[in-house]
This record gives sequence, structure tokens and C-alpha cells, in this order.
Amino acid sequence: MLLRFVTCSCRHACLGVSWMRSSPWRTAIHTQKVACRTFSNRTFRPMKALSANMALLKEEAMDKLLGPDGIPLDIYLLRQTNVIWKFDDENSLKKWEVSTDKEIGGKSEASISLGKSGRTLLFQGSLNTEPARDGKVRYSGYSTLRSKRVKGSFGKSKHYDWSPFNVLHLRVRGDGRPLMVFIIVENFFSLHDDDLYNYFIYTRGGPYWQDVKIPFSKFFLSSRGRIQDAQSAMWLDKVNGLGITMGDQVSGPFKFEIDFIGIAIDPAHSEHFAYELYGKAK
Amino acid sequence: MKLTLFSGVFLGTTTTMLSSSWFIAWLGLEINMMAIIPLMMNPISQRSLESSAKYFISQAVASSTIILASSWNWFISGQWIISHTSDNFSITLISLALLLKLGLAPLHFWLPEVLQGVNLQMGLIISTWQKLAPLTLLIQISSNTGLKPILIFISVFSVLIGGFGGLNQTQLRKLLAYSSISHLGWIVGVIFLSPSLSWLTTLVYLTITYSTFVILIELNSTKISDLMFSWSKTNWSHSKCILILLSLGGLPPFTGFFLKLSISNELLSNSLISMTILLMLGSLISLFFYLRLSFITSLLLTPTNLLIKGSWKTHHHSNLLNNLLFLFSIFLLPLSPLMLSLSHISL
Repeated sequence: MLLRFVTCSCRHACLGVSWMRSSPWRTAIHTQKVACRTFSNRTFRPMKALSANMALLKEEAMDKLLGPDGIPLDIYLLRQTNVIWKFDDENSLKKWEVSTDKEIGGKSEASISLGKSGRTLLFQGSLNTEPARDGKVRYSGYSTLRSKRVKGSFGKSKHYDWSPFNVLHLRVRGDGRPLMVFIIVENFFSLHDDDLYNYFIYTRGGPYWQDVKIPFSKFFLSSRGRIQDAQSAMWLDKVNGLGITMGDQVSGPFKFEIDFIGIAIDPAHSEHFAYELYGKAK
Repeated sequence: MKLTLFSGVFLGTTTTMLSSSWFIAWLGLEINMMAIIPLMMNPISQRSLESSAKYFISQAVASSTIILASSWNWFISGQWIISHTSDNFSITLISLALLLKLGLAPLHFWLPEVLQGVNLQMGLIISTWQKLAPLTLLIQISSNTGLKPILIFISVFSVLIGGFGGLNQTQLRKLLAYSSISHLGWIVGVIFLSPSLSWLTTLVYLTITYSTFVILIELNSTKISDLMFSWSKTNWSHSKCILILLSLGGLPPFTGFFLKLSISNELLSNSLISMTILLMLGSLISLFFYLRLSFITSLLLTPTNLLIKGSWKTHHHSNLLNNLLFLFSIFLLPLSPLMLSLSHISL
């Protein structure tokens, strides 16, 4: 190892460390690009982050004064529908993440892109139900599209407040395969980290769009993929995100297109929770 | 089982209120906390478990601080008697612990979240009954002159936080939590000047808060949008809701105005003018959102615009106690001189 002067990417003369590999067979000297560790770089990045977070905090404070979610209260109370996610440009795709069973050794594939019109999200791929041969995994074949967590100032989690609404409205177009939509709500205990509220979407296939309206009372609780005996209604005041899973145990390609995802009030729907709230058998 | 737990809640609070020793008072606080935790978890859901855990953590920290500070006082002065607490460090620590128990700013962060996670019945108990024991202890130690600057700061800060926190809230339980913070800020502001006035105003506050919760339970409303449609449920409860919100906001000629009037009078007669101005400014913010809430309840949606399915109007069995307390929470202002003289308070 040699200590010598190097020129780094920001053209400052830095004291750098380089490894010199030499052997009877090789004479090439291997040098490493040294990260510039000047004073300005060391302090500049935290200051930038601080000013960005302070700007976010100021925006949050102004939104709080204006009304819930930054909307005046009377408009907030009187609105009947609200579009949460729409897909106008490439930036809207960055709010979503795709995962497949490749995480557990599977062979399914999936990706998202903008649809032909440039105003829809296309979730497509292919399922492979063959499990990984590791002796642990018995079932495989899923692909999930999930919205990313929204972060506020200083990394604070932000939640959606969907409590004035009672219906989830999606405008979708599928290939006839059923999917599952799930909602992630805020939890306090780490035991509930894998808790999701789920329901099904049955796509018709064909070229026509379908409006899927699912009341929030129909969503049932599952944890780590298992439906829970002790069910409870979803609390809509702290929703962290939404996701869609393709996992119908059929290998083959799939395509699912979303125009928008929104929430609405159905005044005729008064059900609080659709399932039996009995105690567990002792 | 519920009867046992409610007895524990009652026993704990009364033990604390009737005790003259720090140890017995702490014992009462612990009994009360242990009894109310299982009650808060009913019905079991993720949010009720979360609320119970948060409540337990905040109350346990406060209780352990109280026993630590009182033990330190015993070590220094050899006294367990509450009224003979002389060590300044112990008194400061105990008062901060009691402020945490009451949910006053800047130690208020647990209160809105806890109230939001429990049902309205438990919210009623947490907002009313659970305040009695810590307030009793605070009144007993309030005569110490070292506490005055702390109490003034806490009082003003609580009223301002209660005002700004409740602004643009859509969840009624959180809104009532911030209302509780604001009202207790007023009460704590006068505690070192006139303990009997602080007791009287506490009773008035508890009456109004009790009536508010009872009406929300009748209307089964947990958010502002529920209040918008409450006219179709029971007309009488809907009207009561509008009046009680105005009383909670401190608008004359309702009872809530008595609280602010009497405390302001006491503060001004003791030359605490800037404190009074700040408290009133904070209350103006609270009044703004109470007025807006009354407007939303009464006038935002006209009765002819039936956007929801009509509900069955069943016969509502009226409760004498609830109706009486509602009347007290609205129409007690003309009797305020009588109440002040009965409490031996002269303004």
C-alpha cells in the first residue's frame, strides 16, 4: 500500500491511498478513485439535507393552517371523490415498486411502464408457480405492485386520511385473471408489520375498461398471507399505501392496466364491517 | 369483570384524592392505571391495543417519576406528607410528572393519539374522570412559589397548542383531546392563585366535556363528516350538539364562558395581564374551530339534501343525569355568582 497524492473527481489535490498490485506476471498498478474529503463536501451535504427538510416542514405547517391535507375544510368535507394515484408521466411510476417471488428464489417476472396512451400504468409480466428448490419454499408464483411510503420532513411518515370516504374506486383493464388488492395501514407493534387488508379484483378481459368499486367494509385482515380469525374493521385515518398482487396459481403471462385509483363516498353504503366479529374458539 | 375494573378505576382515583401521603397517592394512581388499561382494549383492535400501550407508557413514566421525586423528598426532609413537600427539585419533578399525566403541553403528544384509538365511552372516562386525581395532587403542591413560572409557561403553551392543534382536525376525538389540553391550560393558569376557583372551573369543564361526549355517543359520530349528516338521526341530539359546541368554545351566554371569565378576572386582579392576553388569543383560535364545527353541523348541508340513506328514528330513552348535566353545561352562566359564593371565592 502506498500513500501518495492523487487527483480526485472534484479536481482537488487530495491525500489518497492507492493499492499497488504488482507481481512477477503483472506490472499494472491498480489505483482507486479516492472520494474527495474536503471540508466543503463534508458539511455541504448535511446542510443541503437540512434546508430541504426545513422547506418541507414549512410546507407542512402552511398546509396544516390551510386545512386537512392542505385543502380548505369546506372543500374537504363536501368532496365526494378523490383521485389518489394517476399516471400522467414517468414520475408517477416512481411512486410504485414491483416485487416478485424472485426474492424467495422463484422465477416470476414483472415490470411497470406507462400504457400506450401515456396516461395509464401497465403492470405486466409472467407468473411461474415452480417453487425454488431449497427445501423450504413450497409454494411460489406471485408478483406485487405496491405504492411507496410517503415521507415528510425529517423522514417522518405521512399517512393518507381516507376516513370521510367508504369506497375504493379503481378504473382498470385486465386479461381476465383475478388479482388481489390490499391496503396497508399504520401499525404500532412490529408484530403487525405484515398485516394487510385484502380484497379481490376479478378482471373481465377484453378491450373495455371496468370500474371496480370496493367498499372498505369488505376488506378482510390477513397477516403474512394468512387470513386472521380475529377480524376487525380497517381504520382509515392512517393509511400507508395500497398494492395489487397477481398470484392466482396459474403460470403464464399477465397484463393489468390501471387508469386511476381513487376513493369515493357511496351514501347508500352504510355497512361498517362485512364479516363476523366473533371471539376465537378457546 | 368489567365491574371489577370500573371499581378499580373508581378506587384508584378516590384513594389518590383522599390521601395525604405521597406513597398512598402513588398507589391510587397505579391502581387506577392498571384498572383502566384492560377497559381501553375493549373492543380489541390494533388501534385500541396501540392506545392502551401508549397510555400505559406515559402514565407509568409519570407515576415512576412521582415515586422517585417523593422518595427523594423523603430522603432530604423525612416527609411523605404531600402538603409538607419542601424540596424544590422534588416539587418540580412531581409537577412535570403530573402535567404529563394530565396531558398538558409540552407533554401532550400522547393524548390525541390515545383518544383517537379508543371508543367514545372510554374517551369520556379518560377526558373526565382520569383528570381528577392528578389535578388534586397538583392543587395540593401549587402553593409552592417555585412552581409559579413553570405553571404560567405550561398554561400559556397548552392553550396555544390546544388552539393550533385542533385547527383543521377532522377527527372529533382528537379535536376533543386538543380541547382538553386547552381547557386544562386555563385551569392550571389559576391553580397557584386560587385553588378553589380551579376546582370550580374543573367541575364546569368536566360537566361540559361529559355532555359533549354523551351527545357524540348518541349521534355515533367520530368525525366531522358524521356531524354533517347528524340532522337525519335524532333532531334533538343534533340541536344539543350545536349548543354544546358553542359552550365548549366559551361563547357567552353559555356555561363555558364562565370558565374563561372567572379565570381572566382572577388573573387580571393579580396583574398577570400579558398572560391573560395570551390565554385569550389562544382561546380565540379554539373558538374559531368550534364555531366552524357548529356551522358544519347545522348549516353546511341543508335538511332537504338527502345524500345518505335515512336511518330509523327509534324511541330514545332519555337519561335524567345526562339531561341534567346538559342543562348545566349550557345554562349555568346566570348562576355563576351563586357558584362563586358557594365556593368562597371573591373576584
